[in-house]
Amino acid sequence: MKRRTFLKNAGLATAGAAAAPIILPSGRLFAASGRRMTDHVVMVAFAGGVRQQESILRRYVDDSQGEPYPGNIMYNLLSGEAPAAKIVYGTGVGGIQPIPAILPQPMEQFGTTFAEVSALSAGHFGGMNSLVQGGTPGGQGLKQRPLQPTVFEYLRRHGGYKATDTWFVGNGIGGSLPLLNHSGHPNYGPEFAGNFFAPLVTFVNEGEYAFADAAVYHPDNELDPIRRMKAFLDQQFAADGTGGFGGGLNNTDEEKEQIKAFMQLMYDKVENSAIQLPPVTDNGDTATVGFACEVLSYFQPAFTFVNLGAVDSCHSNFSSYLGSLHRADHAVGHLWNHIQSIPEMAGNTTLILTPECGRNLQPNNILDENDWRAYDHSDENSMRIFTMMAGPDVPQGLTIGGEDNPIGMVTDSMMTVCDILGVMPEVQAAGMVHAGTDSLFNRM
Amino acid sequence: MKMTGPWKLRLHGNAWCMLGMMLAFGCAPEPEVTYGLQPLEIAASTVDKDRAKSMDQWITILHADLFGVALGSGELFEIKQAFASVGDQEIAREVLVSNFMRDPDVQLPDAAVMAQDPDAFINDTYVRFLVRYPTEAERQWMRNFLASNPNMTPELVYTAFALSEEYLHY
Repeated sequence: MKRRTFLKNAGLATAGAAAAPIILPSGRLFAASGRRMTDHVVMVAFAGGVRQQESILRRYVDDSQGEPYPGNIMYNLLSGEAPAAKIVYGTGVGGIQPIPAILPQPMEQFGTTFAEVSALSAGHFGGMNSLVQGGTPGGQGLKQRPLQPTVFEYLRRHGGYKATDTWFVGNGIGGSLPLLNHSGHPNYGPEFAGNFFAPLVTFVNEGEYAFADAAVYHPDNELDPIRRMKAFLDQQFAADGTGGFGGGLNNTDEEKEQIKAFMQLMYDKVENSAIQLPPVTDNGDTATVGFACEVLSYFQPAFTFVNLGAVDSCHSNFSSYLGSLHRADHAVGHLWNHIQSIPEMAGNTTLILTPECGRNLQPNNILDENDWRAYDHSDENSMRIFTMMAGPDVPQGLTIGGEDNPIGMVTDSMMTVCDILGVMPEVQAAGMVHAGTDSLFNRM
Repeated sequence: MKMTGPWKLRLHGNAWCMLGMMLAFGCAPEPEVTYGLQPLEIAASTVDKDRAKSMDQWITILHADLFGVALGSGELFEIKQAFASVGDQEIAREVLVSNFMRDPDVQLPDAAVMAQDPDAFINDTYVRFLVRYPTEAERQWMRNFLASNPNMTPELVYTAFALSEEYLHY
């Protein structure tokens, strides 16, 4: 092709592209109006109820058990010396071997930390709903879909993301967790839901019995005739569109096959011990993060929500809580490293993590094997949390707020996700998030 | 301890009362009861199926239709847990059906049977899954479809029926 012809064609193509609206999967004609910073966001619900005292304040047992040993046990997220003695959070008998840091420097140094953030609820249910809905679950019952749209629905409806662009990787199916991937809001709902797996159920336990031997049908010779026959049957039935119990999430046929192939891959990898697990994987959180890494590798989603929760053992065992906190940190370090190993996501992903609630200032009366007292979550101290974020557009080494200077709210995290992925104006215009919720970039 | 006075009288009164009740009700002849099955007329249309099956119903009926035996409560619980761990329930249903099809105990007709007498196969499949006979138009469509799609096996046909909207309703 001659250069002039090429330029002419290229010019026409460019003009056409500029003039023709882009029809997004959501049916929107134009892309979202907000800025877009990175193409991918991974949000970690650093959940289960984390006390500020043992995490961001780095006081270890000095501020909980009356033992004079402060220190940092989150080596990958925070800077600071580890406790000098009374080590129980590592591996081996009694947990005396801490898990070495796996990030070259703690996230605090290459990201931004909001050291004192206000939660809206002292409980898991309210806190998780704050993280996904940007509000409080007022009037919403347990085991009920959120009443207000979730971050997944905002992204899909206003950002035009397809179903496999948004993922919720849960640490289980307890409580309302599997219901948080979409709301029952009439303007949003399952059509805009995020995909959901609770990998430790789907791929390891019950799911293995129900799903592991499924065949992957040939797309032309087998799947196509199945679909055509089903379409005929559905046409004859003239279904009302409800789809019976639990419908779909508006995954396209192609996406469905992609998800099924992913499931098959996971069963194979589980059998061959090939899941990309963190170096130390000895609890549910670390295993969940391993599967989250698999989701990232396979789908490279625009938005992935990963839920942890093992620290909730603090209700009855403080030593176990410390170990789980240490492992949650280890798991997030592994997650960050894994993101950087995916070419499409490296340098193009923002990670944000927030506990859904804190824990009490005063202990309950339950003693563990070290005679340390356990902590529930119901008081003012339970409303104290922190948020950390890192990514190409996130200022490095910045700490905002402190123990006597709370800045930001738990709901800011979901708004920050919407900001990064370009739908914040639409979410604000919808007017359904908690008053005062803002992008953390606007609080810097 | 020996009872005297009014206590003794009351005891005697109660005993007579109980004896009376036993005579009145305890010796009544037992009614003759017979149990049996009423023939259920198989409907020819879909108009009556306006209620969605619950997850439990769909899973247990599917198992019965594919294996000819009831699903145990333990297995049902496991499958329900697995379903709860997958966001897209359409995918969960598709994968479960496919998983069942891989079970060596699944009761599938031979492909040769389907090829030799497609009308009988079509009738049986409609009755098995949809509890009704096909209309003449449906039978014709199915017959043509099977003839023009040589890759279609009983497994694939059963899969299409098990995943149909009608099968989700009763």
